Amino acid sequence: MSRVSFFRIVLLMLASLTAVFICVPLAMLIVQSISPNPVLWPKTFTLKWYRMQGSTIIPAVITSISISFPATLLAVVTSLPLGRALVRYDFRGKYLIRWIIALPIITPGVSLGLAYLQLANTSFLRGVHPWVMLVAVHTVLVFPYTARSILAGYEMCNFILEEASATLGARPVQTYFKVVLPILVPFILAGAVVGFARSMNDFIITMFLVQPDFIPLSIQIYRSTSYGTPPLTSALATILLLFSVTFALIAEYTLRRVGGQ
Amino acid sequence: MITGARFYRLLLCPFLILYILLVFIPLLGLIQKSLVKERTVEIELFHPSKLPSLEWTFKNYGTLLFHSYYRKSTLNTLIVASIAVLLVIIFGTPIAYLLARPGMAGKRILEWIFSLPMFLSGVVACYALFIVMSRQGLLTILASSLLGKPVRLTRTFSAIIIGTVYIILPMFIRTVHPGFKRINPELCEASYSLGASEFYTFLKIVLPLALPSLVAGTILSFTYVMGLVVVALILGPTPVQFSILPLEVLEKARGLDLNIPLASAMGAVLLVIALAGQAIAEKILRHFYGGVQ
Repeated sequence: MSRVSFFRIVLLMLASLTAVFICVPLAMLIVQSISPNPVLWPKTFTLKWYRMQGSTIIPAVITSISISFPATLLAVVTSLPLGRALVRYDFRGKYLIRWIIALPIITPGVSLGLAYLQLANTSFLRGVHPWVMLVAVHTVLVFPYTARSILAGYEMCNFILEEASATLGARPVQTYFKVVLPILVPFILAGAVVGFARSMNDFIITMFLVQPDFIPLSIQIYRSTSYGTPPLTSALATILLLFSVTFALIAEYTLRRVGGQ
Repeated sequence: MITGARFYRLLLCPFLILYILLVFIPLLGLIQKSLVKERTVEIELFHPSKLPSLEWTFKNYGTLLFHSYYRKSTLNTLIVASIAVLLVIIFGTPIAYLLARPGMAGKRILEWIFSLPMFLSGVVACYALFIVMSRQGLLTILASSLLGKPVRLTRTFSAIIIGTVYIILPMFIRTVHPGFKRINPELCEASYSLGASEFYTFLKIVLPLALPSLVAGTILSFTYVMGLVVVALILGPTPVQFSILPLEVLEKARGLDLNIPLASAMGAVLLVIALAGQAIAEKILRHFYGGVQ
């Protein structure tokens, strides 16, 4: 239906203005990171801030990925059996488990961060490298996203396919890897992308756990806001922004594939 | 290999181990810490030998309730959350309605833009806003020319509100969107064919039907803002001038004036508020729409 009413025009304007409100600050961030001096719109562009920040950007990106990648992998591996248990078996407490899965999303960052700070300072964990602690904590942060998506995947799987595979003589493990897992792949990917983004973007929980010699990108950006020159901070923030935009594009693509099936 | 009906127990193990070790025990530790006097950064729960010598107290919660400074922070937190959520309802509701209508040009791009902040780090979003609000920034120049006098935006209360709206708007739209999507388009058609305008239909038919999801979205956004710290940290005034509860947790846990039990008490209060908000919102959605979405 296409009724062009006054109301509809007002709505469209409101939506467009809000979209501008979302996009313009991000665009200005990128502009500022490639402008030689801090003016609204520079006449020439330069990459010097990135070159100057090279020694900070690269280790920070590596640190971020070295935390988020293993965490996402671990979250997927732990989500797979949980999804199967929840979809294929009947037992009490299913609803409760679905609720508990969301706890790391619901709990405010400061509460969870403070709890982890105390956990990390408890005597038997005091000597552990911050990387181990951060990977463990980020696995929990990623888990709700991978679990939710993989659960949706199992719900789409047709049980008859598994039975057919079994009647044809495949063993349960074989059926799982040859029949079930391939159906799940797009769901695993969709959950992993959102979870990876969540992990890389996390600020407050990571903030409680970082040590001076092991600083991921999001924390590095915050640190440079307090004692760096603005364009250097912009360069760092632009790098994380590019990651975010990539994740949003991949998520849009995989979700459309999942939806299309 | 275990097979049969009990196999699910084995399948549940990885999840249970992960959550018991890294969700339940740390949060239990947080609550335990909020009930003692010892200011050390460790959970006594793990050292049974230390438990008997602990001094248990409700004083930390008493401080939060009766100390004027923390009352002020609590009030500030509530004010920020109320204003930001009110703005988000005003802007977010019509946008969610628009995105739920079928066949609109450019819908996919708009949807993508409104989903973008969910993939964005809070730090990046706030720093981008910081640039726009700085002295040379676009928003400052626009606001100054509109008002006819120089405007200072960074490190102000308004900056916190703008930043908070930026971060929670997509969340709100996402929660409310299914509520609009569920409404049968034929109801609107019927209203149009009887001569009602789209605006009148929106007010009298669409809004009442979408109300439960609007209420749920409001509660979720509100409780989320209560725990949000990054906006105040980057865009807000110094904690001495304007303090909110989550910022206070950070100050008391990492700052010079270390007080872990008090920080834990604030953390526990924020946790309870968030859990209650989620429970109520889910109850509303389940009651009116059936099933969690």
